[in-house]
Amino acid sequence: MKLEKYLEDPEFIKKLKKLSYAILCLIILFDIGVHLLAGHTAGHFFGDSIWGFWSIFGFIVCILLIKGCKGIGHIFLMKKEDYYD
Amino acid sequence: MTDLWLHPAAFFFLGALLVPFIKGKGKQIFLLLIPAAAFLDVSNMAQGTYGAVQFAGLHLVFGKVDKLSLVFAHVFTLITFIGVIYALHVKDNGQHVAAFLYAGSSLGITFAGDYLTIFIFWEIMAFSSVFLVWFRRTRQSLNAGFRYLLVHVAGGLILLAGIVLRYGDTGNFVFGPISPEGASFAAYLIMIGFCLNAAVPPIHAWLPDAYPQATVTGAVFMSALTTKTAVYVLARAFAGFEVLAVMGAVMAIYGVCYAVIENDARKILAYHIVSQVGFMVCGIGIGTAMAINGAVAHAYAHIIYKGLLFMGTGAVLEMTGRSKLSELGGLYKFMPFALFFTVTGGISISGFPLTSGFVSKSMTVAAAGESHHVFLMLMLMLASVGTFLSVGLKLPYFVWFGRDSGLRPKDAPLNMRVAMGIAAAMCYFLGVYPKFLFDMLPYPVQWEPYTASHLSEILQLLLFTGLGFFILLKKLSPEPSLNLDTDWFYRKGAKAFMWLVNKPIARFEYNVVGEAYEFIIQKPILKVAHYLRVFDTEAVDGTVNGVGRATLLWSNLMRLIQNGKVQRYAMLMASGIFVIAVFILLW
Repeated sequence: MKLEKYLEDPEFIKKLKKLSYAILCLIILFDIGVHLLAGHTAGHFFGDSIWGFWSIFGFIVCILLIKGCKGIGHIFLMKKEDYYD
Repeated sequence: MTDLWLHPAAFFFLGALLVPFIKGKGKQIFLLLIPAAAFLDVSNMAQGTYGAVQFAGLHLVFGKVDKLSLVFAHVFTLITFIGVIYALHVKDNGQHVAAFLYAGSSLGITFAGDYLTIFIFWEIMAFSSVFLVWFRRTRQSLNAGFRYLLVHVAGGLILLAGIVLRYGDTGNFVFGPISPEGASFAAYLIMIGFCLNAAVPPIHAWLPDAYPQATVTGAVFMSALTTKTAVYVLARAFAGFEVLAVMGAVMAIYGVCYAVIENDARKILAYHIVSQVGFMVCGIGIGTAMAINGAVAHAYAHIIYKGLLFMGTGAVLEMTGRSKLSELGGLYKFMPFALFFTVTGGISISGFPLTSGFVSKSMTVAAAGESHHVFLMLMLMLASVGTFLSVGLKLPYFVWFGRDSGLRPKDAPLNMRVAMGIAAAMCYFLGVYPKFLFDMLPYPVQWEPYTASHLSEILQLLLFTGLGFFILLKKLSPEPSLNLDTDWFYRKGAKAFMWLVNKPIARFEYNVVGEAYEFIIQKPILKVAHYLRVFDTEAVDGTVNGVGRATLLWSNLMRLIQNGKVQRYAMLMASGIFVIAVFILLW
């Protein structure tokens, strides 16, 4: 199968990574463009006026969620699977 | 009012009765006809009030049809139709009967105009849906089903208490909007009853406890109906209650956090029901026209994509017998259809552009922003990050990619793929042509989802979540564990209670209460009984026998006189008259 050949090819994975980083840069450029051209006139919220605010928000929250939940989980929420038996 | 109105629930209840009697080739057609008929019935239904019944002095309304009830009924019948396609291969009649009763009762609630009708269907819904758990026929599902039922019966009783108290206050059972100002205690009891079914923490644990234990096909119906009927009744009765706005935002994050540490794919989805329903409850709590629209639109979109997600992971469970991420991996070569459909559900729930979640979720979030609830809005955006992290990335990655589990399953049967295909098509259709959904909403929609700034916001949020995911991929690797939740209180609580009953209370009972019982109650009772027996033999029996004896004696005496000889009677009469005559004359 074709998909298989691509996904197991390290060269392809490298290219995929580069492409992903390029997309991340493009989306920030897009946001800057939106701010400059359209402008956030609504102004409900301070983040609306910061370039790339939701990129930073998304990234930080994602890291915090993983670290935080796994941390709390290991401290007292996660038990052996036969805990209730 | 006089024209014929057919309650769509009638199709399902009739269908449930007939399922066991229909055999052979026609059975699958019959199974499809029932939800199809109900769907067409709902699609062509005009607004108005139908099916008003006077019963035992009560005014019951079975058919209150307006935009709000129509949009929910539309999606309930649609997902039931898709779910029945998905379950066509199931030979077990019981599952089909339970699913029909369940779908029928959810429609019964949707069109109910009074609290009593709601309560009746509320209970049918709990008692029919539990069979979709029990029919998995494992020990865990049996136990989880009992817990599910106990929690829902408790919730039903709270609801009933509220309904009865409210009747005492208002003198009627009319189901309609309640004003947040000066809402009574009874209203809050009703709200708690509704919130239990909406899985609002801390009374949510029944959901991630029971749904993952349901049958492969049953989970599709469960994910759609119970929580969303609760959203419907909350939207009608409790719009604008600030407490719901806060609870909704909290539950959106709560579900997301548990999904991060969860290992079972269907449990991840169950926690994401809690999270997504949080968006709806929050919208209802905000209560503006736009927020209500957002909550309803999100319920509609959610039912389709969450059904799709349960179908995708259900297909894996059906073909491999596994649902834990730690036991799966590397399936992309073998189940590409299930992969494509699950990812479709995953990007829809995450709110990617061109999918249903993009137009529905952001309406609620934007409503929170526009009504100056900035903190709520940030909480919902945070939950959106977690949604994409768990359902859009973690779940598909560890089931279809990640390490190779060595499993070599076939892709799901045709009927399952068709059902998933329809649901996936709906996800894209609603994303591309949101007007279809917007026209069904209770209030007119003046909101455009596809603006440059909104696209930029969502794409940034989601793509950078993806970056975080791949950076911390190792930290996220699934761990087989059981995660404590508020069901701990009644699961461990029940165990503590049983210990208390078996050990100290039983011993106390045997040693102290038993002895005390003997001295204080048993012995005096025996003594009293003894006296009563003596009284009975001596006094009562004596009296009865005495009466008998006296009667006998009297009879013997009378026999001497009453001997039937006419001459003697005549002589007695004559001598009597003679005595009387002498008496009168001499006096």
